[in-house]
Amino acid sequence: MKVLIMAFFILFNVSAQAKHPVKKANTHFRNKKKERIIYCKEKTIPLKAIGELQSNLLRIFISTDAGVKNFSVTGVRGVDKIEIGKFNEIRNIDLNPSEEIETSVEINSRTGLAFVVLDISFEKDSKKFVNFLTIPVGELSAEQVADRKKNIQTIITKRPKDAKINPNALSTDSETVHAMQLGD
Amino acid sequence: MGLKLLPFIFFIAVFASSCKIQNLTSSLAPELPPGYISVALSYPSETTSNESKPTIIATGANGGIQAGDTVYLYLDSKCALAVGHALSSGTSVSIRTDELQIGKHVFYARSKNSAGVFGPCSGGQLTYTYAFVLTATFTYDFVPITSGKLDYANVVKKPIRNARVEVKTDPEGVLLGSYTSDESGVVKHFLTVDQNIKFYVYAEMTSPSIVIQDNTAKKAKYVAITPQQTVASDKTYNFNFPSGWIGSNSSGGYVIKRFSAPFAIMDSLYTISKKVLAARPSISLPALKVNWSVDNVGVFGDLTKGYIGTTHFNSNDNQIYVLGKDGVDTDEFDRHIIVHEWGHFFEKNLSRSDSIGGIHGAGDTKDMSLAFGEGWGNALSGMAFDPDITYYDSCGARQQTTCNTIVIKGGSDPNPGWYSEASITHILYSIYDNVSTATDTVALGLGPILDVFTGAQKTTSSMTSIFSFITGLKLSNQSSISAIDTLVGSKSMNYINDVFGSTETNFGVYGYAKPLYNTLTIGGSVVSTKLLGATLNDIDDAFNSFYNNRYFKFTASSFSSRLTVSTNDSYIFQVYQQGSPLFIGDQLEQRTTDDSFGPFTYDFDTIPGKTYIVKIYTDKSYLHFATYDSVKKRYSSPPVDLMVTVESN
Repeated sequence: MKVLIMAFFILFNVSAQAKHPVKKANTHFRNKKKERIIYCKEKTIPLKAIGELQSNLLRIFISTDAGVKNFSVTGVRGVDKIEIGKFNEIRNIDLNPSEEIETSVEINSRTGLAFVVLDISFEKDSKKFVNFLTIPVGELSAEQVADRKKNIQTIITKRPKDAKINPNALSTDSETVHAMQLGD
Repeated sequence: MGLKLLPFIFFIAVFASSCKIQNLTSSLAPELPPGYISVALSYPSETTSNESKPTIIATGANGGIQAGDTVYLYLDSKCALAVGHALSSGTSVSIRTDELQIGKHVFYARSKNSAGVFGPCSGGQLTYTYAFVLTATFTYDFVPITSGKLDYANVVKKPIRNARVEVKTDPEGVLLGSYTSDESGVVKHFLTVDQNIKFYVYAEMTSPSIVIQDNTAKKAKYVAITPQQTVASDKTYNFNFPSGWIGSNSSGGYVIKRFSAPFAIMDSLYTISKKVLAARPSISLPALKVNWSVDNVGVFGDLTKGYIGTTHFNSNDNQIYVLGKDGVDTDEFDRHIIVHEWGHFFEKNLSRSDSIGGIHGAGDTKDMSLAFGEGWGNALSGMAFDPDITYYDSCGARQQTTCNTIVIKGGSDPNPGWYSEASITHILYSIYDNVSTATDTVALGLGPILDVFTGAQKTTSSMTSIFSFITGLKLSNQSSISAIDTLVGSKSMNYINDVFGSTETNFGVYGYAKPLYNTLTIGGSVVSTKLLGATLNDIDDAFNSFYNNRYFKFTASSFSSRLTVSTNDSYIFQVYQQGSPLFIGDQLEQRTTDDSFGPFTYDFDTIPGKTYIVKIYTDKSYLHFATYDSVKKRYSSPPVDLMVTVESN
């Protein structure tokens, strides 16, 4: 019986730990805001780009967490319905953490959500990388929203009861599918 | 035949008089009354087929059939509709039927003796369906990688294996059959009436449960649907689901729907699932959902908009997300990447990962759990597609750029050690493969690796790392200890003797990580160590660098313990017991003024005899004493001093 009581006590304490884990002294206490834990493919790059659209000019601010050398923007492309004009080239810049560099791209025309893709190269730990920075521009248009939805269907499957194909004796169930019709 | 004519009571008397005879009779025809004939299918082997003249064996061991009898087959229980007959030379006879009508048939039989007298009509056990057979082979366009670029000019048609396939009437949508495609992508369906049908091929497997769905559209599962087929006879179909690419590598594009992408992802996952289950059939793989969309792009944000950041395994929803944005980065055909993410799924669900996450890459000096998890993903992708051990990440305009290349065994490893995912990749793959080198004579295959992942690695009292893994591996593969030590030693590590890396001598350039786990004694003296903080060196000061992550271990002696931390700057704190955090969220102690800071005490419940790991790390963005160097344009800070004690509370 003593053993059982002890076992219960231990279990109780373990479960209680999660709810009442800490008594703190002489300081405020707050949880660090944890980012979503993700495990990325190996190529994750230590760079990020934030875009700011001002009329027809997209200002792009590039920063790094880890520091890179010989950072270059070698090209700019528009993906989806966007036309790119001039852009400010960046060549062989050492980019350090907490430092931000700015470039800009002229947007000649665009519709809805589109992407500006910067072709970049840089060196980190004496290794050369070729990669991309993607900056979304705009919001999904009604047409784009409709396009994303157009193949989404609810398929209702009629299941014959007792393996008989009898329209009067069918059960049905449904599932939402992204239908890809061959021959369309 | 004569026995059948005798009164029934006679048989009762005979059988009752002799147990021996009764037993013998029971063993030959246990359920059949005298004169009864049973029928069974001889050819074809399946009771539904497109054979219009099946062969049926009639047996009348208990006097139902005798040599010289003629046995007739019928399609009705009154033995009126004859469909064949044959002369018997014993107690059974094979009869090939006359041409049957399409449909389901039940067979009966009776015999006629040489005197022309018929026995009773019996049978009814055999139902045979003569049907049209539809043989459908489903394939998808797999776009291979040549020199790190998607090679649309050399598309390979691969079978859609292990997929859920349904046959439905069209346009009514009545389900006629639900199947799983075989290893050749083949499904057979039988029809007994002329019908208009469609095949529905799902990017979904039921065993193991994997579904490929569209995260930008209500998580709808992908299904490819064939055009309507009118069936009035046997048919063979070959349906290929194309990549959607029209034109050359240099000037083509995705012009039509990208049918094959979800099937390519599913096939890579089937490959690794099959390999794992072949090595260890007892493993039960949990259900997995994989999110792919043509709108999945390398922007972090709303997953439902396709802003997935990069291809990744998300530990919060236990799902994988895969890039699909044409011209930016698509990963559906980068099959090593798909398996890499599945490796994280496996680790989380069937083993354990204590990875801190964050940016990482070859050459980095990362926290031991992060380095191990990423190395595992890479190594597993090599095991899946052995001997193809080059991990490519194609990207860019027309997917004609190579964003990353990893040679899984023998590839670049600029800074080898327990903190290097490249080293972990090499070691784990080398344990699996049977290609010997001067430093690799280990060839254990996948099974023993899985045993450690699902066993010792899952329950280790340390953090998950190469140390816990190798310790478990050596324990269960003692004849390979020497070879394992040599392999580990080839990557700038000392031989591994325990889960805490007590024998390790490589602590990088700063020395702060020595030892890997600081031992705290209940009521003992202060243990002092440091975190690197921010440096003018741009390599080692990330929050997930091993220089900014320090570990302490202690064994509790009471039901409550108190930890005290004295320091000079901000830090983040957590306590683990077998990988489970004791605090809800990591605890940040942030210094914001020059005023006194700490010491900090933490009281928490413990179990006597259990080992606890204290993790203290920092992120340079929180450091109060970091200063900006305007010349080098970087922040730097003094190291973060840590003085830690533990006592019973």
